[in-house]
This record gives sequence, structure tokens and C-alpha cells, in this order.
Amino acid sequence: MRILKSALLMTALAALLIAPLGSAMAADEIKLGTIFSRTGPLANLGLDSWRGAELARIVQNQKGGLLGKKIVFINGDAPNPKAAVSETERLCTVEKVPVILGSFSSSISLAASAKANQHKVIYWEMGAVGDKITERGLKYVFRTSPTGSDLGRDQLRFALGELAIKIGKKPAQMKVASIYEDSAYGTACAAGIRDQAKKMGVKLAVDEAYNHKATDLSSLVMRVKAANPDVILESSYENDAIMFFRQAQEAGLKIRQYVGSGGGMNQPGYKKALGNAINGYVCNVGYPGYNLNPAYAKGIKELEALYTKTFGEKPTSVFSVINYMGAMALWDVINRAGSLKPEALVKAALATNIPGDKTILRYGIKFAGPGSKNMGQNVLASYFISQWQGGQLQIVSPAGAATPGHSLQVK
Amino acid sequence: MLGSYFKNMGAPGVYFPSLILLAFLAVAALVPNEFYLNLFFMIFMFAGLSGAWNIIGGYAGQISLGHAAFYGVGAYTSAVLFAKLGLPPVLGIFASMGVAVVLAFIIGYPCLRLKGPFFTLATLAVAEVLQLLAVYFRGLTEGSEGLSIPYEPAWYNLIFESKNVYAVLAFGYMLLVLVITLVLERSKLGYQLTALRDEDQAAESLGVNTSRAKIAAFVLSGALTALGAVIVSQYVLFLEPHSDFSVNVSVELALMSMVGGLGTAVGPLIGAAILIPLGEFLRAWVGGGIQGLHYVIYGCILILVVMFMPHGIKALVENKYKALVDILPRFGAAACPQPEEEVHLHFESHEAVTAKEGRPLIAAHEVSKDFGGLRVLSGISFSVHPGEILGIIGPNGAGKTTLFNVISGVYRPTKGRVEFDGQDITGIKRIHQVCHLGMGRTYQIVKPFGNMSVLDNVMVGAFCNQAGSATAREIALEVLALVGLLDKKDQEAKSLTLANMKRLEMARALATKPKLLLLDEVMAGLNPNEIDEAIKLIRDIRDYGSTVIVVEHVMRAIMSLSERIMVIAQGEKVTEGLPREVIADQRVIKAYLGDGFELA
Amino acid sequence: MVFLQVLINGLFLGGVYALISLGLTLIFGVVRVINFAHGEILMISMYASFFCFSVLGLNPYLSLIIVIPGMFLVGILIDQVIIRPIRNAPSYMQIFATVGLSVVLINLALVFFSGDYRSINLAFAKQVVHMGDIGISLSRFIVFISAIVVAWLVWLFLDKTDMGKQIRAIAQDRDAARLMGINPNKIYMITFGIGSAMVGLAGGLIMPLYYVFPSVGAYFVLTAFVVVVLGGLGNMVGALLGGLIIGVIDSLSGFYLDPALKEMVYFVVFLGVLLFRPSGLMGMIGAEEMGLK
Repeated sequence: MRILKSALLMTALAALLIAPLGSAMAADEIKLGTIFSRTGPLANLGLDSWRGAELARIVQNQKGGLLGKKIVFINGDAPNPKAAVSETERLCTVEKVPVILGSFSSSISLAASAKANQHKVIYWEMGAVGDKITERGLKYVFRTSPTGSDLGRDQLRFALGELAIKIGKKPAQMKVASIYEDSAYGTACAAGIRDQAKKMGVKLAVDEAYNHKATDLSSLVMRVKAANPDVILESSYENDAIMFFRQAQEAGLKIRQYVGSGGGMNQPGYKKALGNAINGYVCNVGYPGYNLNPAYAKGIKELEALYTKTFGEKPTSVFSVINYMGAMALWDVINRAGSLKPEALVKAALATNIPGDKTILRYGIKFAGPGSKNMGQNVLASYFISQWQGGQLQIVSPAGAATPGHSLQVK
Repeated sequence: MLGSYFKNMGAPGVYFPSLILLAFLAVAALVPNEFYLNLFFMIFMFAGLSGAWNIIGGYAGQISLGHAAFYGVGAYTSAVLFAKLGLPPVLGIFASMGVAVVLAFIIGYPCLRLKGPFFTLATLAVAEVLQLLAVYFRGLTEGSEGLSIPYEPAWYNLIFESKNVYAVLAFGYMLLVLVITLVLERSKLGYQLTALRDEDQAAESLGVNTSRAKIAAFVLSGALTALGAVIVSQYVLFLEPHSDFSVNVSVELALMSMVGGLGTAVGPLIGAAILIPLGEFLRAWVGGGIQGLHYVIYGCILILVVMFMPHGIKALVENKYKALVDILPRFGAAACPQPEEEVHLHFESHEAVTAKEGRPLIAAHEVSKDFGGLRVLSGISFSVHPGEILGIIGPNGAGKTTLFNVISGVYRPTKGRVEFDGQDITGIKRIHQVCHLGMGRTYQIVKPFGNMSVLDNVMVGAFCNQAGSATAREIALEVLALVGLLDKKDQEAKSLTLANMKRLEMARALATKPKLLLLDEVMAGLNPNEIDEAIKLIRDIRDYGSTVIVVEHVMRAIMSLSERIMVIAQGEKVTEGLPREVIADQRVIKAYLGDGFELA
Repeated sequence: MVFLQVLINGLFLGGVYALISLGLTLIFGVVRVINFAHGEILMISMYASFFCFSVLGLNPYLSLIIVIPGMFLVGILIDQVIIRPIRNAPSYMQIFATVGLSVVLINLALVFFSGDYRSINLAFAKQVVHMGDIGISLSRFIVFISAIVVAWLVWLFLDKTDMGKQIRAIAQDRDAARLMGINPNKIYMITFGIGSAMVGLAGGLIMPLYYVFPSVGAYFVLTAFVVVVLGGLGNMVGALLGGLIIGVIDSLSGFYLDPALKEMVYFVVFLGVLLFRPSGLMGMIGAEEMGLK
């Protein structure tokens, strides 16, 4: 017991001393930091996002690395914003990384990027959707992926556009319900929907938030059912998406189509839990994954193979693709900058102009410049619409990206 | 207190920790390494926040797992006022603390009545409700998307470019909480809190208004937590309900105090200094690898600490620390040996006062008490005049302790009236009020404040009529001298023998300077020598100025002590009168030995 | 009609809450240790049920044969290793030890099973019986009936059997029970085991309705405490009624008030109960000990 107590004390002391030593940088390596939530409730998606960046690192190293050196990741785990701040501090001041890649989670990103910006370290966001991330006028923060409110806007546009046509109703005749989980992700999407609704002059039949930790959504189902909508626009994580769908089925809620916004509704787990019921019934606005038509998304099959080889399993979600694309764009910036100095990197980033047909997800990369409201945001980022068909997510819009033979279906 | 601090500067017990603190301050101010500065900022802030929690959790013994409510409310009040109305946080701090104080009153009044785990659950529920509200009212708080605080460095915004300033500010906060805790420890409130934590009812009998004390502690704790929350927010610059109102915050604060040493001033500091680097270290070392592994290790460490080091690390290192302090040199005034404290006994010696005419000190009129269907007391009337010693005897189960409980305000009589010193105290709501009116009592099963020293136990009683620690201490020492426990004054109460614990009970009650003292079977379990000493002591007590009612089984004692004796059997008064009359009374004999007994 | 459906949904949801809380009320009511790792016992049960399905191909209703006794043993293990040393400790030690246990269990699950959501897709369980406009989900109905049956069976056990009487004796007055020759350690151990087995039953029955992931316990545990306090510690009927009441409140406030606020409503109810009638609807055995009378 004495030994135990001494051991505890020693561990604590050791922590204080060893931690800041950090890892020495070998001369032929470039150290870059990563911040993702690898623990906590969103751990699986945070991890999968990191995997995308990791694949990009491997691919680039195979090509000889960056500026002649191999890329090494120093990984930070951030289950909550305070931990994100601490990890960012560690990466910036101990490991002295010039760039941090992240983060999937908007609240992590908001906290970590603010800290990184203070240290003049580039924060390269590749997947989190919170609008505010690029609305704070922070010079060193960039985001390659689209925003949350864009997701919402696209949801409504699609619903009142292509979907309405397929259903055979005029936009003014469509009854649209919007439900969303109440954390940063859902709230941002819903705000986009509301914004778009105002622009288009339409009124939402339902506009309800729910607690993402809820153990029951039957009352929400009843409320939606009472409004009798044609289409439900949903922003949910996987667990609540599954729960709502099941409870809607039990309650006999019949609509023409669900339109999700990524999050949980494009996960394999969603499909496994709900089975065939979702085929032709659930669309997703989002960034697609390995289901893209290889003729359209060049290199997607090779990437999938690399994923399977590196991690020993098939891709568990779509997030690795978008993070891969974001990281590849970063390599391009670093190469053009020719150095790791912050000002050079910022300048190179602002000069980025990658056309859509050169990227795996077929949208271009060009960042809004200083003075714009969303400085640092990739203004060419856009979404795809996919639909669950035959147990797979198939792209249905834009048409050119769709796999031949798969077009939009409605119930 | 500041005066005595400087006066005793030469003592190693004072300068050594001061030097350690100064060293921390120096590190905060001078070290350029930003990683260390971030670490120290977090350690100091959490030491302070946990110290704030410790006031209600450690000292008052009410484990709150909802302090995130104060944290979140403090953080958001100032941040919203700043981000939306431009109010500088240096002023916003006061708004935050004000809101926290109001919240503490609102939650405290109802919840502090609850015991143990129920209080804990209530605080958890409150924090959850506030979290849900913070998410819901996103017009005000930005909801789940989080509130970003604009980075505008200025002293009045509590936002600084230099991390050193943050670290020094954090040090200042920690020092503030530490000083407040130390002052509290030595103050009347501090003594009362420690007492009520150990024995709630005994504390009440000594005049401690336990609910007011608990609320005071709760309010203080909440305000200090809110203050700390503002400082952290101006560093992290981002708030969101799911982390700032999270149960994890509440648990961390409580944990640090527990690991370091619950209910001690320095415990939270030790706890923070260990747990924060440990968390960082684990996350950096293990966190990047297998998901969740570092938390498994953290959780295991937690369980081990709880099970094997329940008094925290402070208890572990205390002896070594004291040994170290003892061998350090003493300077200045502290180098001279301290003279032994002299205790002057002030008490008037009365002649043995016999029953006076005139208004009785206490009178019971037709008192009955039922518990459900069981009538325990039935129509008891008696009175006691100032200066008397009244003995109450009766077989077991007669209702003697119940009678005590009724006249001392623990129970309300079902029928009848009790008057004390001219006042009707029949319906008295709170036990402590009885003490303030001048009645003190001991308990049949002793209830010492086990973890406090003998002197401290008695000081709690002395505080009944005093506000200052110095005068309370004087009175306590006097009383200890009177009962003969002066040489044991620094011993822990729970380590006393039974006889001494009974003396301690009496001493405590005496320190409240009662007009009337109720002694409940103080002789039980004493050997003949101890009984003689107790008899003499009780007579001294009466000479000291108190009227005494004694419940006893030991015949020798009650016969020699009492001027009058009252006999109670089966809830009724059998007879009352001079001792030698009472024991010859047939009814009394029958009451003890049964109806079948015939005196030959 | 809508109201009726909302009400029925609430009752069925209440059945879920009640089933999960029956084990907790027994443990909390008898052993009097506030166990913050209770949600993780549920999580382990659910994983057990899931793996019986995915590895052994056993339907979750069948795998109960394995899960229930398995969880009984798990309960005994937890009791003897973690709870027993701290049974008489001040409540703060119990709180922290069980919080530590909760962290360890959640993250062990994360290490071994990853954070993915696992669920069981049972066609049978998805069937909905329609009576006019009202839809009744079969799997939820099973849970609802089970809650009532289990509550009744355990009540019978406590009331009629020797062991049950011993358990109640210990709950009412531990010292008196010891004087009667009842071994407290044995009783606590068995109670923990039985309580955990009941949670095991709950876990298996709700797998068709939900999904399991490492933190799933946290979603249910606070509600379970609310139900237990509302119903009265140690009281089977109380937990059943409490669960149903909370379920109905959840459903009604979600529909008529606001889905985002429904959790808040029953926390407010919880606070109300704690303040005005802390011994719960049905009263609590040994309430004096807890200072509640």
C-alpha cells in the first residue's frame, strides 16, 4: 500500500516534468499537429475524420513528402473545448507545429482555432460545419469544407426543387418540416433552413429542436405527424436519427421523403439498424464518400483500397474522404509557400485556386479573402445529394456525379 | 489576522509555505514557456475553483455535484454582458457573482434541508436544468453553437496578450480563495460548519443555526465559483452549454478537493497540482493512441485514491511536512519560547442556593407527547427554580429522555405547554433558538464532534453567545479548566475515553453559558471514582451559575446531588419531593420493582 | 385520439424507464450506496445481449437466459470488489469511487468495442399492431408488460420468501437485523446481484428498441434516479408507478409543450419531489435513517 501511494505521487511528479519535453524533431521531418475528438460520444466519427488526414499524409509521403521532408503527425485528443485549448497549447508551444489539422466537431474547432490563431499557427479545418468557425475574422483559420448553414440551405433548395418536381407538387404546395438536434451541428443547419425559407418566401410547417441525448422522440414524432408534411428535413446524429425513424414508423408517420444533412443519416450503422426501409426513402445532403462514381471522383477506389489496407477494415463513414481532400489541399499550399512560416502559408493559402475537376470531391478550393465576412472559408465548397438505394448511398444530384442508372426516387 | 501573520513571520510554519507560494508566483510571472504557463493557469484556477467548492463540500460536508450551475451562470453572465452589451468583464464579474449569490439562495433554502445523497442528486438536477435552459434560450446564449468572446486585450476586459499576466491573475484568484478559506476556518462560521458536518443535532443544541450556516457557506462557495468561471472564460474565449454546465466540471472540482484533502485549506491546491498535470500527461502520452485508454487509467487512479487515501494526499504527507517544519530555524519573535497560556477562572461562587420563591426558571404544564398511537408522556407538570438541582428518575422506558427532548425543543408536545424564563417555548421551531434563550443539554449517547479537537468542540459552544474567536477561546479554556480537560485540549475528540467524552459534552454545553443545563444520564458507564468526580463537577456547575436538571439511574449520585427529585414512570409523573421522601414512597418502589413487590 | 396515442406512447416509454429503475431501487433502497456506475451496468447488459445476437445468433429475448445470470454475477463482482470496501464510508467516498468506476467502464467499452452504435435489427420487434387509429409497437408492449410482471415478481419475492424478508429487514434497520442473525454482507451482495440481474433483463429487452454504445448508460441513469426517488427507495410498486409517471410526463410535455424542454420538465418534477416529499410516492423503508422523516 505504501508502494502504491508512492507510485501515485511519483507518477504525478513525472507528469509535470516529462510532459513538456515533447518529441524531438528529426532534421528530415515536418511535424504537423492534429486535433480531433478521439474520445467522448462522437469518438467514432472524430477518429474516422482523422483517418482521412492520415491517408493524405501517407499518400504524400509516398510521393516524397513536403519540401523534401517526411510528414509526421502529432495527434491531440480533444473530447471537449477546454481539453482542445490545452492540446492546442501543447501543440503550439511544446511541439511547435506550424499547422494544426482538425476537427470534425464544431465546438472543438471553435475553441482550438481561436487559440491556434493567437499563436499564429495555421488552423486547417476540414470537416466541422459550424458557421462561426470562419466568421470571426481570424487570419490563420481556414476551412476547406462547406458550412452548416449551407447544408440547411441546400436541404431546403433540394426539397423545393428537384424533390418537389419528382413528387409532382409546386413549391408553394409543399409542406416542409424541419427537425434538428440541439447541439452546434443541428442548430447551424436549421438556421440555414430558416434563412433559405425566408429568402424563398416559404413557411415551415414544423421547426423543432430536440435534445440529442433524448431517450425517446415519440412526442416529437406526434408533433410532426400532426402537421402532415410531405418532406422532413432532418439534422441528426446517428442514434437519434435511428430512433426518430423507428418511432416514426411505429406511429405510422408517412411522408414522401426524408432529407438528412449528413451527420448520422449517411452512416453504415444507420443502414444496418433500419435495413431496407430507408431505400428510396432517405436522401442526404452532404459530402459523399466512397459511393461516388469513380468516373466522376477520380481516385476514389484507390483511396478506399488504401483505407482498407491501412486500417484493416472498410471505411466506417464518409468523413475520411472530405478530410483527405482537405489535407491534400494543405499539401498544395505548403508546397507553393515553400516554407512553414505563418505569413508565407497564409499568402499561399489565399492564393489557392484549385479547380473542381482536380479534386476528389469535384468542388474547387478558393478561400474568401481578408475583408469578407467569411474570411478563410472555401467558397467553392458545395454539397451533393445522395439517396439510400439498395442498401447503398447513391449520388443523385448533381446529375453528372451520379452513378449511371441511379436517379432520384420517391415514395 | 493579517497582523498575526506578520507577527509570526519568523515561525517556519508561516514562512515556509509563504516561500512556496512566492515561488509559484515567481514562476507565474517570469517563466516564458507557454506550455508551462497554460498548465499553471489551469492548476491555479482549478485550485481556486475547487477551493470554492470545498467550502460547502468539505467544510460543511454537503457534497454538491451541481457546481457547474454556478460555473456556467458566472461564465455566461459576464460573457453575454460583454459580447452583447459591451460591459467590460472587470465589472461583469460583479454581475456574475451577484447572479450566483441569488442562485445559491434559491437552490440553497430548499435543497440544504436534504441529507447526503439526496442533496447531491438535487444539485445534479439543478445543473442539468440550467444546461437545458442555456441551450434553449439561444437568442441570449448562442445556444449550442457556443458563444465566442471577442479577443480584445485590455486590462478591463481581463484579456491579455501575455500569458504571464493570466498566470499571475490565476495565482491571485487561488490566493484569494485560500485566504478566505483560512479566515473561515478560524471564524465562528467555520467552527459551526465543521461541527454541523459531524453532528447536526448536537450543533443545533449548542446554538448553531445550521440552516443559516449552510446557506452562508453555499452562497460564499457559489460566488467564488462564479468569479473563477469568469476568469477562465476570458482565457478560453469560448463558452458552450454542454461543457460549461457539464456534470464533468462539477465532478472535477469535487474530485480535486477529495484527492488533496477534503475540508482542508490546502487540500484543493494539492489536488489540482496533481490531477491537472496527470490528466494532461495521460492525454498527451496515451490519448493519441488507443481511444479511451487514458481515461481508463485515470478512472482506475481515481478509484484507488478513493479507496486507499480517503483523507486525501494531505493526510499522507502531513507528518513528514510537520517534521520538516520542526527542524527549520525560527527567527525573530518566534525564536523565543512561548509562555504557557494562563487560564483565569472567572466565576462567581454562590452559596448553595435553595429553592427560591418567585418565578420558576422552567415550567412544564400538562405536557403530553404521542408518537403515532403510542403515548410516551402523559400530563406531566413540574417546575424548577433558579439555582436548583432537580433530579429525575424512573425505570427504563419511562420517557425521561423524551421529556428532555420536549422541553429542549427537539420535539413538539402533543398537548401542554412549556415555559422557559418567562417565554412560551412550546412551539419553538428550531433547536438552536432554545440555546440562545439559555438552555443547554447533553445527550445520553454522546455526540462529540469527533474530528475536532477538545478545545474546538467547546469553542463551538462558546460561539453561541460570542462572535469573536479570541473571546470564544478564552471562555472555552475556562470551561475546560473547570471540567478538568484542560491538559487534553488539543486531542482529537474521538480519541477520548467515555468518561472524558461525557465531560466534554458537559463542557460544551457549559460554554454556552446556559441558565439551565439538562444532563441526560451523564454517569452511565462511569466507575465509582469517576462518578464522585462528576458529582463534584455538577455541584461546581451550579455554583458557576447554572440551574441543573439531572436524569440519572445511579442512585448514589442523584441522592447526593438533587435538592428535589421527580419520579416518572410510564410517561406519568409518579411523585415529586425531597430525596429521602421520594425513595421511601411506595409508589416509587412499585414503579421500579413492580406491583407484586411488598416492602417487608 | 392524438391525445390517446401520446398517452400510450408515454406509458410504454414509462415501461422502459420503470424496467431500468427496478434494479436501481432495489440496490439503492437496500444497500444505500449511491452508485453512479448504474448506467454502465445497463450498458454492459446491452452489449452482452448484442454480442449474443451477433456472435451466437441468439434472439435477444432468448439470450436473456445467458444475460440475466451473467449480470447477476457481474453485480456480485462489482459489489465485492468496489462497493464492499466503501459500504460504511462517508457518502463522498461512495460517490467518487462509483464515478471512477463509471469512467473506467465507459472507456473500457470504448477501447474494446469502439464508439460505433450497435443495434439489433429484429423484424419481429418492429411489428406494430393497429387498433383503429392507435398504433402499438410490439417490442414496446413487451417491455411494458415485463415491467409490470417483474415488479410484481420481485415484490412477491421480497414479501413472501425468507431471503426477501431478510433483505427488507436489512433495509429497515441494519443493526437490528444483524442482531437477528442476518449477515449483512451476504444480503448486500445478493441484493446487488439481483438488482443487476434485473438491469440485465432490462438491457436485453430494450436492445430491439435502442442501440448500444459506450456512453449509453449516461443517457438513462439520471432518469433512473428520478424515477427511483419519485417512487420511493426500495419500493417495487413505487418504481413502476414512478417510471410510468415520468414516461407520461415526458411524452405529454414533449408533445404539448416543447420537445427541447421535456427533459427539463421531469427534472423540475424531481426537484419538487425531493423538496416536498423526499420519501417518494410510496414512502421509503428506513426513511428515518436517511433523515427523511
